[in-house]
Amino acid sequence: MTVFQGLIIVFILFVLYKAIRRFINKEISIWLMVFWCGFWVVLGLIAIFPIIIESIATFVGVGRGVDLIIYIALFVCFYILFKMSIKQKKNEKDIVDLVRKIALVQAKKKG
Amino acid sequence: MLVSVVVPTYNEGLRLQSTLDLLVPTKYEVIVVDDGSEEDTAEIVRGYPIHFLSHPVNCGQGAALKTGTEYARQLGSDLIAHFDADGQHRVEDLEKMIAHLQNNDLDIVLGSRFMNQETTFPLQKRIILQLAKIFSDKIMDLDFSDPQSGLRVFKTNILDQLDWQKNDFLHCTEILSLIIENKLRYQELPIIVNYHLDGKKEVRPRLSMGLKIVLHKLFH
Repeated sequence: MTVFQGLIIVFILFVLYKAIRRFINKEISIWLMVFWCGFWVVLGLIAIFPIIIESIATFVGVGRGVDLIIYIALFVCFYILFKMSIKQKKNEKDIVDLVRKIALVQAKKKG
Repeated sequence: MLVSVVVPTYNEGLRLQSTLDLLVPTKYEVIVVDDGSEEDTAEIVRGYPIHFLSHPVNCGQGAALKTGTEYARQLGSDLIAHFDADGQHRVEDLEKMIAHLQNNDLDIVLGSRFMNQETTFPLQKRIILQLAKIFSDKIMDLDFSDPQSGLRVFKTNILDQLDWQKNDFLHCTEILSLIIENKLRYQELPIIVNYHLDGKKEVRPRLSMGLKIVLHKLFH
């Protein structure tokens, strides 16, 4: 095992610990905890056994495993950005609607 | 006929008082909407016979105008005007625009700073406004002489068609788009704007403004 693989494993163990802690503290649901744990365990397996990602890359025709990881990471990042942008727009609209309602209710009429 | 004048304000201080000194003697209902100013606007307008609304947080000029416009509708206004709080607009122009809307078969009257040669713009402002106009003409396909003018008067019954959503400066462009989209009857009238006010805040142009207009055109 290389130093890089070791660092990744330590990081993944830390993230798993945080996810489980947040579940125990009832900050996240069991499904979200399972999703994050599953996600990081898969990443850990790929880090320990890079042959997994190499085989998948060859299967889908990308070439190198690292390239496949970069493509997937970019895709996921852009998707998250898109979702967050929609969510942020909705939140902004909700805040303005709320602010408007407060202003209209508390309006000081002339005289 | 009930006419309401919506005045959105954000940290305008004494300039707002000067504007109210001009508007209050008119027969119009004056609606001031404070858009989350850091200063105590309620104290500044105390004693004026006006309607006062306050946004607890800053939402943008477009949002403040919409709040005031909605309030004007609730008051039962027949005509609604938008008038800047910084003292740059003249009541004579407002009265002229209101009379023009009442006497003609129109839905909205827009003030235009470029149709009147009497307005003297600071050079920087002139360049910015001309660039905004070129942008509006060529990218937005909106052939208006002054796409960024804040002085406008419209009939309340067109509000459902004039339902702008932009909270920031983009509401100006959006309103023009809605006029064209909904085939509203409009006319531009020349107005004179005073850019040489004491302590006038300078709104600096930002690249992000142009970028926002392009994105608005592409995705809306």
